Amino acid sequence: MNNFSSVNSDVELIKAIGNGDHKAFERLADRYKNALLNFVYRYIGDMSAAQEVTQEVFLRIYKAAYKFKEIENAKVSTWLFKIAYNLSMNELKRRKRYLRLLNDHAGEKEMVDRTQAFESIENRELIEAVMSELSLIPENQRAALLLRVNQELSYREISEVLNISVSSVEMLIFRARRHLKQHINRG
Amino acid sequence: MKCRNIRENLSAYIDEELYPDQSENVTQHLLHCPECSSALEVLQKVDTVLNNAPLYSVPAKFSEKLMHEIDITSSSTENLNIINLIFAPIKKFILNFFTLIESLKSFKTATLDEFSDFPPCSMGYIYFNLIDQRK
Ligand SMILES: [Zn+2]
Repeated sequence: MNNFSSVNSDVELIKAIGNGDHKAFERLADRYKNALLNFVYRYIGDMSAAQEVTQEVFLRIYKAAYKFKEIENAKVSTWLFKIAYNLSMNELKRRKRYLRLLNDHAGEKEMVDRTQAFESIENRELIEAVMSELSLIPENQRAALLLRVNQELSYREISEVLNISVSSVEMLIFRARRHLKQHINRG
Repeated sequence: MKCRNIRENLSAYIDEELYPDQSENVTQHLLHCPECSSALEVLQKVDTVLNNAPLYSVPAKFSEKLMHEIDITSSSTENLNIINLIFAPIKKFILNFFTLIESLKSFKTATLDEFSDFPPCSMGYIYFNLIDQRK
């Protein structure tokens, strides 16, 4: 059905997926599944929800891949993270409604509990402290910083994912770093 | 005052998102300002920490489950396609047939003989033969 060389660009894979190629879909999923999972997990702070969102991102890509021609100037990775961001945002909204009812903060605790296996205790404590702080800063600052530092998206790409201006992205990342920096200074 | 402006640009400086002249300004300032240099180091440490935080992998069955979902999705759309493949031509035929009949009705005043030159086995031939038989 297909004869791929070992390396395919994301755009090639998306086009093949648009033509119903399951092998190409599997390959794209392998390429991005862990990056998406970690982004979503750090953004919403719950692993099982992050897994569900990650799966949903790929299902949406599968259904919409044939449309990709229209937005060819966008990077596939930007598209993936945009879907992931929107789904995560919905998940957070849903959770807030739920948490307000229960007055519970299970999500925040879990983020700290899952940190494990580090070389030095000092390092581990610092990472735990920063990740904990990260879960408390405004959501859009958190998303912008994660996309920049962990996914290495440019400000322009982040502005597409978050649907805001480039200068707003700059401000969000500046503020996010300022929050986390203060925490590092205290520790 | 100068330092304050520099500090505001350090975040974008790390990300290489400043204009070249702005970036050059910051670089020059950092060469002779230890305070701003250490402020930069602290910001860079934030990034280092984020990059050293634990990473997780999707569960072992993730891809398998995903491909299963896709199979369900695509087989249901294929079924839809099969239904369309069968029904679309039938629908088109019926529509065309009735359009033809409707248009022929508007010739009510003409005598049947005027239509006698339809080729044998054509729609018109069959239609008028049926009408003839009914008379
Ligand atoms: Zn300075």
